[in-house]
Amino acid sequence: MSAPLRVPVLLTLLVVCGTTAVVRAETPPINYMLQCQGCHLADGAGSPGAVPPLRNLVGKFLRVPGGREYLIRVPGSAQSALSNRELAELLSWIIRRFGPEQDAANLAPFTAEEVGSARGRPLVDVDSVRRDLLRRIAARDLSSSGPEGP
Amino acid sequence: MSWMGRSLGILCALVLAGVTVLLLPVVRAEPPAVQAGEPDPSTPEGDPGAAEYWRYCAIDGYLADCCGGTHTTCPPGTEMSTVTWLGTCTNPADGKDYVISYNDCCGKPPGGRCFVRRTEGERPAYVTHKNNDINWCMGTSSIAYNSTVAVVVGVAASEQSDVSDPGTGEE
Amino acid sequence: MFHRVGCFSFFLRSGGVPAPAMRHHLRIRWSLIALVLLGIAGARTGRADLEIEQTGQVASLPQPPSPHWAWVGDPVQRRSVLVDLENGRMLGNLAGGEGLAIALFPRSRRELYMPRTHYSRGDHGERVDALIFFDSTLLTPVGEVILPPKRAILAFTSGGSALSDDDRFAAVFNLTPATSISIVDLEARTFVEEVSTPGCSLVYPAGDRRFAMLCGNGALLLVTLDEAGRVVERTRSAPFFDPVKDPVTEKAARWGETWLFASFEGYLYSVDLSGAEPRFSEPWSLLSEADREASWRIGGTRHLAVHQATGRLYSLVHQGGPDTHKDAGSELWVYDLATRTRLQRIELENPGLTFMGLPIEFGKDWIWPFNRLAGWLLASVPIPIDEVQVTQDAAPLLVTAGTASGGLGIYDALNGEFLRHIYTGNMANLGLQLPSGWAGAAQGGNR
Repeated sequence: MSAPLRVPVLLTLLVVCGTTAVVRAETPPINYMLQCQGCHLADGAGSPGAVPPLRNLVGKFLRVPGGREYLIRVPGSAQSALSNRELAELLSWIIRRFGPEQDAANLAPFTAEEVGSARGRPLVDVDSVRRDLLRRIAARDLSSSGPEGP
Repeated sequence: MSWMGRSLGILCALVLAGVTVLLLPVVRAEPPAVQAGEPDPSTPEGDPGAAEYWRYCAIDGYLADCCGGTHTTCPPGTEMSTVTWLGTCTNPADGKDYVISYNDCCGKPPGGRCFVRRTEGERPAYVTHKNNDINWCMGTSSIAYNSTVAVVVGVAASEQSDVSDPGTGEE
Repeated sequence: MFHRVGCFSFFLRSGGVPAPAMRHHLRIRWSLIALVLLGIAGARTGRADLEIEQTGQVASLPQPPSPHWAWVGDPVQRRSVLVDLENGRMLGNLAGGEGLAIALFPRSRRELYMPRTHYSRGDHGERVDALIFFDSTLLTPVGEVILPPKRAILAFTSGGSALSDDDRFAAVFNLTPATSISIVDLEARTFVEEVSTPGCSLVYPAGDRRFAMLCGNGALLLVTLDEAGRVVERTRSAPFFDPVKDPVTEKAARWGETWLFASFEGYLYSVDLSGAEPRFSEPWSLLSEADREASWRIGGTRHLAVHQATGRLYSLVHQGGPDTHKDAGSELWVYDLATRTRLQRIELENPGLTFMGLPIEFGKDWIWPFNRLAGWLLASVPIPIDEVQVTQDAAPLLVTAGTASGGLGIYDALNGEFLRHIYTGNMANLGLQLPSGWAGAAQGGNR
């Protein structure tokens, strides 16, 4: 389309397509897509060196104190455009979706209350908190039942 | 009959023939098959080469469809980015909102054709996962930007989600 | 017939051979002529030769830079050109690499810094990100600092990098898509460290040892460095705007120590960073009810500019629906920041048409009314305005640029009068920088 026509046509389209400021509640799979999948990817693999994987790992954070809160306060969660209830449902879905299986099976579902109280303080230093949690997870697994399988 | 009269006669015949030919029904090429759920491809909303194509409601870049690829495949020799951002566009054919993945095609010079910048539901760059002003060729072997695709990866706000949902999905 | 012979009658008579007495006079006249001609010839051969010139001479930029200079990026030719806004002369040229060519301009040094990303084989190969140091007089590279190859490549020009207010450190925004900033010591010319800033993006100067970033929940992140440039503190404020209902654009403008952000719905948010804690003021509306009813909205690639001394805010606006925050503008609305009132509406002109970098102008010397007609025809081709900047001197100029053209529209910033077109030689203009105070030029101003 010629340049002079493009702007008014697009403008009309945008007006006709209506306001998009309304945030509508979606199901967890769709919320995962819209809020997380772009970086963590559909299979939860993440991006090496840039985006942590969820696959076979995210559930482990529930094994140690502070891990649950970490999953809420990490900025990707805390800052998502979701209500507390939607975020709680999404986090539970993520645990079940990506495991490990044992953590999915033992999951105490996230509640809107705990999400609401933690997400107001998004983590500033994610790296050292995450490193510390992983260290404690490894230590706990070592002491309880031997090294964790892949 | 004079030579002038004869020439006029020939001319009139030619004009008449031409007009007749133009009025004949023309055998056109087969119209492209309408993909199920897609709007009529002869409309701008159904033409992946048009800026108004429904999936492009928040695209920012050169259309892969114009640069050697299609609206779901990257041009030859480029690499499709893994990380990207996902938006939502309304399909005029069925009125549903679909989740669109705007992956970039990377590692080649700019495609340069069909630049489209639309901003429906798009947000500033500090909302990283909702921004299309970022070069999303991160995570590929080159950040050189060539073009962008628009892949349907889900159906939003639907009673029966088309996306497989392992786990209970209930809460 | 004799009259028509004119000066030749000096030499000739009509008719036949002149009489003997006349021949003598003729000889003298011819001798005089010959003498004059010889004299002329003699003068030519006796004049001094042109001076022998040297090859290898290269011009340098006059110093200090003029406040009426502008760097204008060209995403097609991957460069930024320096033009004089008074006469349109091109003064210099810098290559940009991947992404837009945006530089940093210190006030206290005769340098400029450009973060650049390159691949060893053009579009693939080994990626190298570096902050390149240039001499501001010679425009030659004089050093570089290699950066982590993570620099964010953005399609807009705000927030990609920043200088500390005392020119000691530079911060470059990284996106992998994890976010961080790379700190460079500009005096020692060394890389200091990468500071992880999860959930927060872009970087704006906020003092001598501090940078500000915008977070996805509407908060401000302040990153404080020590004297060596190492991070000592990262503090998030409470959210100061709603990123879902009415986000602010990234295209902020600075007024003294205060940063101004305009939201999609046309509210102006101010953050005063003069103290240890950020102070947020109540946002005020740039649009009246009538404006909103007429669908006026803010929008553009760089849509806010502030003239420091007079406290005037220039805001690019267009008429459009929701989510048109990147649409180019047709008018520039001028506000007094102190009183929060609108002073003027400037209807913007076409910044000029170019093709392949060359201006399309014709008919200026045609007779009236055709000279006006040609100009009118060209002006009726819409080239919407994407960027606005203002010089910071006492006779400030407004500069407008549209991406679809290599032309700039220059206005008097105080009364809004259109002055002239300037053609940059760019095929597209994207990345308009007016570095006030650069290398000791006119005082004041944001970068």
